[in-house]
Amino acid sequence: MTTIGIGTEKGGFVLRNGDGEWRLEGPLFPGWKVTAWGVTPEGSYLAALGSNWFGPALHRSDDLETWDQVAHGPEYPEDGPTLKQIWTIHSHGNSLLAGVDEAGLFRSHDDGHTWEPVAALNEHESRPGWFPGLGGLCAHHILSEGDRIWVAISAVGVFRSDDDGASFHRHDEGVTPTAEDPQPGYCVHGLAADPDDPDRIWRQDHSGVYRSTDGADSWERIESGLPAAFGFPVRHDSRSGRLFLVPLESDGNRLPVDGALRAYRSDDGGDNWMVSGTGWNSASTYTTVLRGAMDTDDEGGVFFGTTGGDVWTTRDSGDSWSQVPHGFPRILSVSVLG
Amino acid sequence: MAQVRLSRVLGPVVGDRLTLEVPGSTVGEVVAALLDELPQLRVHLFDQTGTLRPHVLCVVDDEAVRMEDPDMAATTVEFLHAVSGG
Repeated sequence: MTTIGIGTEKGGFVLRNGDGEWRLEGPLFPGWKVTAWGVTPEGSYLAALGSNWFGPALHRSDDLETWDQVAHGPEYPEDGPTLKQIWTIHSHGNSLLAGVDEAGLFRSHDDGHTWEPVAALNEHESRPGWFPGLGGLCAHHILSEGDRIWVAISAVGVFRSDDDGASFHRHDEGVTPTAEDPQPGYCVHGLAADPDDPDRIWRQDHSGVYRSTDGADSWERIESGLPAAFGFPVRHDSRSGRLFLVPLESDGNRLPVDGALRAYRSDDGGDNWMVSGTGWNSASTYTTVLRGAMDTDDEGGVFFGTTGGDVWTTRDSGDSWSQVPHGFPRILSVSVLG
Repeated sequence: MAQVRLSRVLGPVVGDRLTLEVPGSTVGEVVAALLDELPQLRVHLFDQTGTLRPHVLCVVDDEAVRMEDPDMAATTVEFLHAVSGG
């Protein structure tokens, strides 16, 4: 059984596939954006809710059917930044990390019941020079391995902690900045790591696609075979070792090149890219895949949703793709939940 | 006692308790009682400084207010969402 959380502009949905057919559950949280999903160390589910009117919050469930708001979710102190949205939920050992807009990190040591701010990032010395991009000032991707934590902040860059969050340092060497003043701003869009070699990290950035082989100490461009280097998510499938991303024409025209919506994959760690397999629509498809809307199950399953409300899946590491026969509102988040 | 009415959008937060009676005769007392009863509402109606969120409308006895005066008399308090969005 594969269970996928689909977070949209207008509620959340759950897709389950146990016999080759996708079954749809929902909508959950009618009227609310579902901006991220997570699974706690003890196996409960979390959904991050946002709204055009009301404040963001985490909701919790043991069965994906009955949900209750987390009583002590991420919240900045009274004199701190404003919490506008919860962008990502990441399991880190026995704890959980949440990345938010305005950019910051929160941590839970009790299975997601209570959360505390991570001061080393939230009060980083470079913070006065952080400024939002089009997508806001958001901490949107988190990677971790042992005591190391990587956090991607849009329009700012990548931060790494080597001491389990006690301190963070910037790691953008080799990346083209998208802003120079008042300090270089690096608009990272997506991060993925190789669990077998956590020093190998891939980065979909505003300025292109990059790879690091030294834990983000340095980055090199890897764009051979891509029709365009702009895009948002990048994902790694552990079973095949393949990488996946969805190129968009440019920052000024965030649509598939020539209307050809395709995932691209790399079989060699990013040295070369090609259209991933078969099954794509021959008709033009002018939609976008947002940074939180692609996930893998590390068993050959890759799943992404579009701003046009379509969900695409592969179960064979990108050899063949098919479209889920359900339409959704604008898709903000796609997460494998089980 | 005062009556509180909540936007239907808040259903996933408060369940079917969109209309409830709480003790109090001023806006300050009614809101304090409301948040005692439904503490999960606080982050949705107010930011961390206690300021009413900008797209939340508070209507006290048919008058839209920004809750500047907690001593304002209140028999009904409604929290609505702005007519915006698509």
